[in-house]
Amino acid sequence: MKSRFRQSMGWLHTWAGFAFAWLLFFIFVTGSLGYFENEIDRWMKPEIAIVDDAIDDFEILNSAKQQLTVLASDAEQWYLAYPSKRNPYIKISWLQPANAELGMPKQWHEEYLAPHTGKITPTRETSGGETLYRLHYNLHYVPAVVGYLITSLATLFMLIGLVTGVIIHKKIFIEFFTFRAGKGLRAWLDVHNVFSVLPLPFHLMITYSGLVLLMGISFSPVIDATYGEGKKMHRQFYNESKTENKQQQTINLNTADLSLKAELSHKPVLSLKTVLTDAKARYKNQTVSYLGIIDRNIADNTEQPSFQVWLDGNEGIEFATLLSYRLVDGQIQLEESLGKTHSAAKIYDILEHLHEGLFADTYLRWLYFISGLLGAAMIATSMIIWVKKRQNHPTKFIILIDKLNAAVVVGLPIAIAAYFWSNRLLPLAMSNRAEWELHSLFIVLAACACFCIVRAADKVWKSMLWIAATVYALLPIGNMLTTEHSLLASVQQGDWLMLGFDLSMLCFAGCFALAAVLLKTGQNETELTMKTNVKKNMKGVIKTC
Amino acid sequence: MLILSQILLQLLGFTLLSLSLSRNYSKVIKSTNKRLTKRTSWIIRACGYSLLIIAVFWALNSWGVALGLVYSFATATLTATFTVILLTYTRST
Repeated sequence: MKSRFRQSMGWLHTWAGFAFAWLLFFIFVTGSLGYFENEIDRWMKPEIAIVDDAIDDFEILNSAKQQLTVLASDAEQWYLAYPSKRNPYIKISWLQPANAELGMPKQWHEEYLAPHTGKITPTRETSGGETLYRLHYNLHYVPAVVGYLITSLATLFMLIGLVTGVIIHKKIFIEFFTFRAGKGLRAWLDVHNVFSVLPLPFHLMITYSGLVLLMGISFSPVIDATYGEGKKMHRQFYNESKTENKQQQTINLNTADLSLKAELSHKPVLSLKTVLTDAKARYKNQTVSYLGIIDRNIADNTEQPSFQVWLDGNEGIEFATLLSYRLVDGQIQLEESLGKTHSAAKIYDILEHLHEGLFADTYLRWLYFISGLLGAAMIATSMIIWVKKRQNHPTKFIILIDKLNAAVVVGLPIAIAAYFWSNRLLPLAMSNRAEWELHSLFIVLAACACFCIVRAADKVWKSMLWIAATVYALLPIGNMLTTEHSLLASVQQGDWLMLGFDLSMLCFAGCFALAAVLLKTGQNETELTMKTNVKKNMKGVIKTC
Repeated sequence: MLILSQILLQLLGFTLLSLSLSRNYSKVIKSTNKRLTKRTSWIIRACGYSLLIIAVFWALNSWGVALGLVYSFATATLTATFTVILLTYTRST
């Protein structure tokens, strides 16, 4: 340890970062993709028919109910997702009970309905956007708990890196706007500062909340101490902390049309149709995003099924409002949840919502995504600086680290492209298709590492950048050849999600190509990363306008 | 529109803040006899900060505290990055 405070903080900054840099880069990139989870999902299920005109809510309900009755008569929970701007399709999902004969565990199923006809649209088996972003905390190939612990540890080091970084950065205001391009190591340090300081609120928020989100696992001894060890004991803790404030009232259902009134005059009956009518009458200005029934087939009939209506209008960064209807002693009871009871749970909720950014509109979503990529770029530049500082006396070890840096920094985007490619190229009837999409990602990542190790050290970055540019540039073409979704078709059909995805891929390809070209002319690729940001920022702005 | 005005206000604020530093000031305003005096620097800096504070309060007022803060910080990242790029890559004549 060094004697002076700032120097020892510098030492800590370097080595805390070095220890987990590759993993943190992986976490930042895959996590950032999570902000576009639904958009990635849409691309990976090209069969889904989008709803481009207004359909009556009751018409959608009828067709959904028909399908659910046929497909999921014995399911405990039914859900119907109404088309929204971000998810312009009709989705039904249900929780199928375990079937011992077929060896099927209890699991969720989902299907998409064609607008107007109400028929099921068969979609390909895919891991989709959700599995991709979950990689950033479960690491896929290890047991979930191990994944949570490793990522928590990495996050802890990230937090250390951020705090020590702020301490060692002496001239934080004077150098706030400084980027001296094309000046070797100085330029890299500047760009590292720019990527760290400007989105610092995001970095601190995302790191701290990430750490807190997994505290149930990483700090489980604390729960052990109060509630006892084991899953059952921990359940008590979760149940207690999840207690919600609820507003309960006994109500008479609002009835919009006369036929419904006649139906209800005999006795209060709850059905999806009656609760939808009631919710629409109660909240005239809000749109319904989800409808659901839970506890449908409870065997002993002790509890009546509960009907849920989710309204779209969210308040601040809180989730949508949830109304639940239940029949209690022949009376209809309406329950509205008003957030968690305990303050610790409230704070946890705020951090979770901030981390996930589900409330974000298009503008904010892009900024979340860009800030995430800036975080990844911050880590990437730190890897490069580590090597540059030691380049005067290159040992085999340092050259190897430099090559592996290229394998991670450029190889990971290539591997993610491979994930998208596998969605289009793997045979549709393949068994375990979804699983193989993920295998493709990691196989390509490993292949990138092998390639980087054998490639000459001075050419490795440029080759990787050109490969990345190529695989991203070809993605929209691959999409056009394997499905009916060419860029032109997307414009004609108003399929903005598909179009946005394809255009983003071309944009990434452009950035990688630019990086490769700039490397050749001897300029620093920092400049290009800066340019990349301009592009992305501009895109966010254009989208919002 | 609200987002756009936020962006413009913050962009102006950050530009003024960056100009209050002599390195950026002399880069943008080339003339050698116009060195940045302490007084000018102070005035520019105060204006920059005020604009940023106005932007934040406007955001809090329009979106509420939670969302307002998120919008302000996110927009600050965008606009400050843009200012850095401008300062680095504009070649003043």
